[in-house]
Amino acid sequence: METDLGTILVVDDDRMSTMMLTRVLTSIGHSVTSASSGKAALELLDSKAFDVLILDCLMPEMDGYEVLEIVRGKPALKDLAIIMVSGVEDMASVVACLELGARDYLNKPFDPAVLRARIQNALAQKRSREREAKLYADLAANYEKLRELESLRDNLIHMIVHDLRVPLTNVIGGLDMLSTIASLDTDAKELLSLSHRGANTLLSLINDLLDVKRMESHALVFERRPVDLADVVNAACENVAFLATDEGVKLNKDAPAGSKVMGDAALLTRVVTNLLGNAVKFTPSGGEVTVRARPGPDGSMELEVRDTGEGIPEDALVHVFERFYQVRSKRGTRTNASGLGLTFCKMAIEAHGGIIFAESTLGVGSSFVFRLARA
Amino acid sequence: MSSHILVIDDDADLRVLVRVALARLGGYRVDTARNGAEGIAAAKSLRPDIVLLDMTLPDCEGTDVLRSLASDRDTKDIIVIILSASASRRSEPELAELGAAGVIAKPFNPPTLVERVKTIVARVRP
Repeated sequence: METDLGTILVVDDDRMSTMMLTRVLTSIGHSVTSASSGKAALELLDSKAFDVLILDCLMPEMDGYEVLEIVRGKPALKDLAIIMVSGVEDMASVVACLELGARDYLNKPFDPAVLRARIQNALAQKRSREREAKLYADLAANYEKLRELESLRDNLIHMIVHDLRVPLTNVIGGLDMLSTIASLDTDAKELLSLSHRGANTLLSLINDLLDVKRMESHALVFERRPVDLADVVNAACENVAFLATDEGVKLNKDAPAGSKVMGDAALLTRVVTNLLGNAVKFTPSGGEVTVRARPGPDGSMELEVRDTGEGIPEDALVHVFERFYQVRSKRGTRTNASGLGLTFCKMAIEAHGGIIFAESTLGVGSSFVFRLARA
Repeated sequence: MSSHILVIDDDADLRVLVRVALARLGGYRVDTARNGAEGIAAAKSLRPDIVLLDMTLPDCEGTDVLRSLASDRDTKDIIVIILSASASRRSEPELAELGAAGVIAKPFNPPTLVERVKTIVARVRP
C-alpha cells in the first residue's frame, strides 16, 4: 500500500513515548511535531495545519479529554483526525473519547505495524472528508452560478420582450392605418397584408413569452366564467384559416354549441389557436387537422386536436411541453416557433385546474387533448 | 431580353413580396410555384427566362429541382438563381457545378433582390 504522507502532531508528557512515535512515523515519511503538554499542543494547532493529532489521555495540568473538547469546539480544526492514546486497561476512557469526536485510539505500548495502519486509516478518512467537502463546495458554487444565470436569462427575456413589443405595436398600428386611409392597388394590399401577418406572428411569439413568464410568477389575471368551447373553436379556426389554406391542410371541426367549461375565453382561444397552428405546421399538404369538443371522463369537457402529420418520436413526446423545446419538422426549420407555444398551453390549462396531454404515432399523426371542468 | 421569371418557394408571403418587387421594380413578368413538382412543371410549360429557386421545399430539395431543370432539353437554358438561407449547407461553387447561375442569400430586402437578379443575369447573358 502506498503511504499517504501527512503532518502529525504527537502530544504526550512522557518523553519516551513521543520519541518512539516520532521515530516510527518519521521513518515512514510523515512529518512529525511533538508537544509535551495540552497547552503547548493547542498553541501549535493554532499556528500550523496538521492532518493527524495523536493525543495521550493522561497528562498533568490539561489532560487529553480537555484538549479533545477544546479542539472539537474549533470549527477551523473540524477536519483534524484525532487518535487518542491510552493504557490497555482503560477502555472506558477510550469510549468517552470516541464519543467526544476522536477518530480512533491506540494502546500503549505501541505496536509499530498497528500504529502505521491506524495512521493510514486516519489519513484516508481525512482525505475522503476533504474531497467530499470540496465536491460539495463545488456543487454549491455551480448551483449558485446556475441560479444566477437563470435569473439573468429571465430578466433579459423580460427586457427584450418589453422593448420589442412597443415598436412592434407601432408597426402594426401603422399598417392598420395605412390599409384604412390609403387607396391601394392589389399588389400594395397584398404587401400590406403579408407585413401585417408577419408582425402579428412576431407579436404572438412575444405574447407567448410574456404570458409564460407571467404564469410562472402567478401574475397572469384571468376570468372564470362559463365559456362555450364551440365559440373558442370557431375563433381559433378563424385564426389559423389562412395558414391551413396556404399549407393545403383541411380543417375539420366538430364542436357542438353548449360544450361549456369554466374559464377565460381569450386564454382558451389562444390555447386552441396554438394547438391548431402546431398541428397545421406539422401536417403535410393534403393532410387533415380535426378539432373536436366532447364530454370527457369525471364530469369534464374534452377538447382534442388531431392531425395526420408525421408524428412525434417517443423520446421527443415527453418534452413537448417544456420551455424552448422544439420538435424538428421533416420540412426543415421553417416553423415560426418560439418553443413556448405548448408551454403556454400547458400552463394555461393547468391554471384552469385542467390537464393536457399528447399522444402520437409516427407516420400516422399526433393528438393533443385537454380536459376542463364542465360549467 | 430576359424578362420572364418563375419563383419557386413554399412561403406564400415571400412569393408575394418577390413577385411584386420583381414586377414593380424590375419590370419582369413573374409567375410563382410553391413546391418542386409544381415548379418543374411550370418551368416546362411556361418556359421562363429565369427561375428563382428556394433551397428548402416541402416535397424535395432545391438541388433536385436544379438537377431536373439542367437535365431537361426544354429547361436547360433557363438561368437558375438560388435563394438560400444562411443555414444552407451547399456552397456556392457546389451549386454552380449543379448549374446555378448565382446565389442570393435570404433574408433580403426586395430592392436588393431585384438588383442582384439583374447583376447575375447580366453576368451570364452579357
